[in-house]
Amino acid sequence: MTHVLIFGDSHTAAMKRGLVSLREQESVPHGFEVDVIGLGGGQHMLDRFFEVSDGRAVMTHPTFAKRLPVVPIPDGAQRGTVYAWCGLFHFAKAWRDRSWIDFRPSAIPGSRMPLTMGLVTETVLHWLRFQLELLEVVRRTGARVLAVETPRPFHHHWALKRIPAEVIAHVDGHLQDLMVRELARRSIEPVRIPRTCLDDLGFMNPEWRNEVETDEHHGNAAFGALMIRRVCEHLAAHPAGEEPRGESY
Amino acid sequence: MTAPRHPYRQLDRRSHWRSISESDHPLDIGEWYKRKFELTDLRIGAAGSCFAQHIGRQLRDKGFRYVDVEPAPNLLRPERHAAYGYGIYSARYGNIYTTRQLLQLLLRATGEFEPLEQVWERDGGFVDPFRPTLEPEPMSRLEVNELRADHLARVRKLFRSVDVFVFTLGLTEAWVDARDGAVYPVAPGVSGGSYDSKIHQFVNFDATQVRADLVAFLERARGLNPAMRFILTVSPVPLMATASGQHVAVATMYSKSVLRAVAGAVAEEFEYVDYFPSYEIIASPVMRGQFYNRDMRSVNKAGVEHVMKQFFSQHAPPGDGTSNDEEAVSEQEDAVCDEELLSTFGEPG
Repeated sequence: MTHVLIFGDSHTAAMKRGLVSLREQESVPHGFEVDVIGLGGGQHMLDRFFEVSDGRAVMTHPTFAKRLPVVPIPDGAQRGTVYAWCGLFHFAKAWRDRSWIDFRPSAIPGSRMPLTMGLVTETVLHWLRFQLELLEVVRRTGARVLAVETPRPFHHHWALKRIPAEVIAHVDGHLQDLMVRELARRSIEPVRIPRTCLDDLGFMNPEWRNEVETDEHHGNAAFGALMIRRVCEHLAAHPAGEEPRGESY
Repeated sequence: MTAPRHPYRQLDRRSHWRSISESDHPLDIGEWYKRKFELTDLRIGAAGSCFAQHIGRQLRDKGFRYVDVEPAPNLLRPERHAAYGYGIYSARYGNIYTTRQLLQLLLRATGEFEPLEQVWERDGGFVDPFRPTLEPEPMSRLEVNELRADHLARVRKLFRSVDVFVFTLGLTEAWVDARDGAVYPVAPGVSGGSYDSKIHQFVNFDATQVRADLVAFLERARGLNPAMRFILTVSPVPLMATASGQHVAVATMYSKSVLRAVAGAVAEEFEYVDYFPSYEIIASPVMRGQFYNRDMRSVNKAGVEHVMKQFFSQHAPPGDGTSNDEEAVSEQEDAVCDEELLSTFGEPG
């Protein structure tokens, strides 16, 4: 039995609901024990939210600490826990930014001011530095670490009312590629959304949108269940000792 | 018995050296500058060598109508604006050290001059030869070209829209492309490109050349914007290095002397040009070098503040014009993230 702990930001909620539905349908992939713990919103991860003590990450954010005090978990080594992080692939903070009202990626023609992807890259890596550091800490303990992709932009997101879809798609696509490279450098395995979930521009198909009408960027339980199955399929296809190198599933 | 009449008797106190020698402290010396025209309600642009950064920043912070045609994107955190060339000057042209460079910027902006070298290679990418340190990382060729085209269009807009342009003259030394005369801000090879002695030549402009370039700039700028006026200053920052073969201190004195003489002469000649003595306020012997850091090159904060105090004594700041509005919608979405978690996981125990 492989224990998988899925943890991370608000996108874990869909994973949790997906897990509940999988359990109700007795469809949790065979040979896997899955837990999902949501720490808190990604905006709380812009600042340091943990400290390293005895090689482990001890949560310092009070809410996070109540939900998951320490990573790796105390019996994780004994159980062979695999840690699957949710949070590094959702770049709404970058592509919804008001900058894109006046600016454009240099590669997209137009009258707005061009921005380099170098600037976007630096900014996003700054935002995500503590999340990446957390995973590095866990990785250094010898545990296996995955990064689970979270929903790409949805067409019904409010940002599309003022930012062109191709700008959002370009920024998101650049950052997806960036994150795959950053994870590979850290020997963290990405688990990607199936291409069939996306349209030609790289936006999520609407069937995966959150159950709450006003929520424009989280996935639904079906999406959560889909990604849990993807995680398990990934681990089944690449058992311990046969981890893929620099590839994404 | 009355004292004999002579021309110096009628002069005000500041015209006599005793106004300095009788001051209790160098900081008490005042009246360094008398303005030629007011800046109230005027749109102001700025450029120049590195010392000019302080002038532009202070004008902006003090609430003057400081024009920035290439403002930073909201995405970039403020402490990194300068690293990406934002907020330093009125456009992202980087440091403009020589009057030839300033003139060529204007000519490039109006399409009258297109240098042969369009990109320099650096670390597997490309940079703009005319602002090679614009961003920390090299770009794609497409990015360099897109940024340059947009930048020059905005520089053109800047020159057309400002009422006053503040320019700080910095150097007489430069590296030029022998094929077309293009002046680079830094020597090829330092921050990109590679030095080729057959193509890249060192020049040390003399007063005649500096004046000709400056006057050509003034006249062309006023051709775009006939009401435009100018404030000239000279950077008090010594040369980092000289390629002249002279001692760097000697080369510095040459460079600053030429620039100071030309700036003064041009300000005397044209009623629409003022001269502000930032160079003298910092570098004058009466200041005893107190405004330089230990390297005797960079100007300390007290120096900048003292210079600007003299400037603002003649140009009273209109007040704090800064604003800092927040992205309410994004904050709303952050709140939604917490709600999403709470709805599924509940309050943490």
